[in-house]
Amino acid sequence: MSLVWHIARHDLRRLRWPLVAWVAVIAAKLGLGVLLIRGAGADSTLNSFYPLAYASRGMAVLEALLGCGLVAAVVHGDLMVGTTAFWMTRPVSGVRLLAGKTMGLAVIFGVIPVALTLPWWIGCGYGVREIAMGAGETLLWQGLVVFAALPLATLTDGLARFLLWSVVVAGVIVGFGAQITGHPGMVAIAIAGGIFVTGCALSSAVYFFIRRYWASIAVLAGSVGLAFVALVWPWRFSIPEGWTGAERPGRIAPGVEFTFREARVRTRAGPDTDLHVWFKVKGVPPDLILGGGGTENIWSWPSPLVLKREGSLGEMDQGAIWTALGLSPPNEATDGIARTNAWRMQQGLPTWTGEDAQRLSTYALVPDGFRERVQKDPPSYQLRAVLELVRPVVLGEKPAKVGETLVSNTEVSRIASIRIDYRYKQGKAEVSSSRPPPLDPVTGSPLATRHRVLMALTEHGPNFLGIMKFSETDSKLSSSWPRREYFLINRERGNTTARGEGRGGTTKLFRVGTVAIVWRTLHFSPPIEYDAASKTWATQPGWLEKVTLAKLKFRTEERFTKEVRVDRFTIEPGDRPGGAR
Amino acid sequence: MNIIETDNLTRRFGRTEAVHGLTLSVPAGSVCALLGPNGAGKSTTIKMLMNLLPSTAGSARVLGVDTRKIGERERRQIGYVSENQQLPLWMTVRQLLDYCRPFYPTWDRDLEKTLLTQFALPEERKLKHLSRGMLMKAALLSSLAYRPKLLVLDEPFSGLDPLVREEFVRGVLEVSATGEWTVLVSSHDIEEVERLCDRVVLLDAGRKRVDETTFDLQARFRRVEVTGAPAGARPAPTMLGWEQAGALTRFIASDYAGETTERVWRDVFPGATLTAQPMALREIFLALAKASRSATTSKGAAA
Repeated sequence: MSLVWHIARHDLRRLRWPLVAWVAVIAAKLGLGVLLIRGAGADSTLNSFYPLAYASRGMAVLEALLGCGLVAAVVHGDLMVGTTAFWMTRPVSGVRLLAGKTMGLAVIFGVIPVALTLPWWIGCGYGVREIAMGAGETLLWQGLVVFAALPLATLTDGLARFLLWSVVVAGVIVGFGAQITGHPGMVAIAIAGGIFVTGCALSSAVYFFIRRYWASIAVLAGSVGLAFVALVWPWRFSIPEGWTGAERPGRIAPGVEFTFREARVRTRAGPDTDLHVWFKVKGVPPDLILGGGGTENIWSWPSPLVLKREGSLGEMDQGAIWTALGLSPPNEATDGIARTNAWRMQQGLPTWTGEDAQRLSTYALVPDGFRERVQKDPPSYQLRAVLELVRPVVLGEKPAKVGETLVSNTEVSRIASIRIDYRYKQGKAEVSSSRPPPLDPVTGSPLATRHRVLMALTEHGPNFLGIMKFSETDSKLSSSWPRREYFLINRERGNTTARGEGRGGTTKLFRVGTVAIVWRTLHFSPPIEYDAASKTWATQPGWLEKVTLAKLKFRTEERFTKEVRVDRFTIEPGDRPGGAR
Repeated sequence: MNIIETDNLTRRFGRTEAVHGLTLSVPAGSVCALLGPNGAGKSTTIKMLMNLLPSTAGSARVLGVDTRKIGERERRQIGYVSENQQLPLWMTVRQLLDYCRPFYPTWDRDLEKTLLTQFALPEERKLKHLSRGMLMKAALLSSLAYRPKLLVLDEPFSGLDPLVREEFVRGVLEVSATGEWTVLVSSHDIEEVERLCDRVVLLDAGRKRVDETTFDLQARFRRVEVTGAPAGARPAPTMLGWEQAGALTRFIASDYAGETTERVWRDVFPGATLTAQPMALREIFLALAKASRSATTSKGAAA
């Protein structure tokens, strides 16, 4: 063992200057990560994100290239090919030399990157489990570089030949790869990668053990060939890509009732028509949000004609978020219905009652002429929807000031910049109405405030093997619920809150050393408040002066499928304008 | 006991036969020279003996072990210095010794110090900054300090100036005199080897031409000058380098056996004056090489 370490130490000493460069490149990559986390230059445009991110990516590429060079340098220090290497006439067997080289490579590609990244991980709030996973992933990627470069380093006698053959082999792989049509799938890629890496390791080991050139070449060529076969092989099992939202019903789900309320269309340019179907919902506790995922809508006529459409559901929040934030929820039964009825009266439609406050709608694209067909011959209708009961949980709340951080376990959000856009400010109160809030007479939606808060946030958290923790999956039958949401709260001013518009504005994501770094802009609009003096509802620019930023996550309590059957499906007359529910 | 034994050892590179059916043995404690012109197969033979190259046919044993199975244990007892060896040039002399030392349980620190002084090697100078002679001495030092049972020197004098050669040879001589070491040295620099070796193996075109002790070899070779030899008189077909100019006849005898041989010559050259001079190894080597070349030329012409 001491001789193995003696060989490894000899290599490390010989390569001390390249290793300094190696350390510098990794440190530079992580240093850029620090700048990304600190939100260096982040503003509402996020323009400085890409220079930093691309510089960090450049460092990662440089790290990989330098890594290949280091593998070659380690192996070429004691040439395997030829008959003139110093070690060959010394009491060093191929096995011992391989062990020594492996130990040296383990230090260079294992100990050094992990040790250098450790402060980064600790600084990013990683615990022991995350550090172990991060170290594992780091070793995996570095191992791939080592194993890919090792056979050519073993079978060549210098850097020039190593580079030449690397280009040739890479060309062969790319050339064959270009022949593969379609995406092979994760399983095929994983198996092919495994075969390739194993073949590379085996090829190198064969040469260290028996020093037969053509045997190693044969093993390497064989593994490359097998890897290609594995890529195109029709594997019968698959790794699920993305979260498919397996059902997890609990005690609440069976009590949730859906009743068909009405359907309306909204015509728009193009061959399709928007169809909105409303359901009355009962049995959802007020502290939970009923979130909808994907829907399957099936209309069946006796003809027989069946129309199937996929859609998505909205969400039903009876004030759970406000409750979680410790605020008094707005009275949806009065205010919400009042807003809706104001619009319905304008349209000459019958008004809704308080019972209709608990409602959910699905949305689907149907062919033009669908309404006429339904009116002429009402079909039966079946809805199959994936639903979630979600509990809002406050992850933290801090004054809305630059530099404040919200920390929750390994997730950290930091306010990088705040800008209040007063472009349309016209005095203290901008719009007024006797009912909250005023509705746009054309769209039926609440009037947008004339000023807003543009906030840039940086977020970071663990992200292993590229599985994006911050992704907002919206695939079929999966949850569309955003994982995190931010709120501005003014606790002095009547427990009001404003919710980030568009769920985050612009989002940019980058990974550095298993840490996902997100730059996000949030656009907040101050809420429309009741001004007791003027007895009007109005937007208040002063509301922004003492606000806090709260971050919520939404924990899925139950996930279940609901089916609703309607024997006679009808569509209400008149087009529905967009916006209001 | 023989330290090196080969039996019909053969190595081919494609259609070229670098070594053909070489059978030899090197006894323990001897200093054996592997001589031959460039391309004779000396280095190939040594590479097979060191298990750097596999043989195409035949077998070889070094320190009693089949050369194909030479491992760490055997290499701890073998010192190897070659003109073509790639030394770790980035190291200093001190670092080279520090690197080599742990591999050899028998490493002798005192001998290391003695040799360092004797070779006048600058310890802190990097190998890449050493002259060729110094480099070879450093390699020799790193191969001697553990007192190997077998020291293999493959063309150690190439490119060395006379002074350094002298120092190198003296170094090997002094060291070999201190122990029961066996030395195998390959070279085409016969004058230097002559002082070293007590046994000679002459290779030519991959084939063994001579394999005997230096004493025996020099004893059986004589340069003979005959003055006043009768016309047409020739003692035996084994004579090499036969030259006749007027009354003076010269030839090299390869089977000289003292008074017995001289009696035969006097019978062949009655009344002539005969002188038989001992030959240096270099002269013997040249005579054999010339004879071999002319034989090859004759064969080619006949073909």
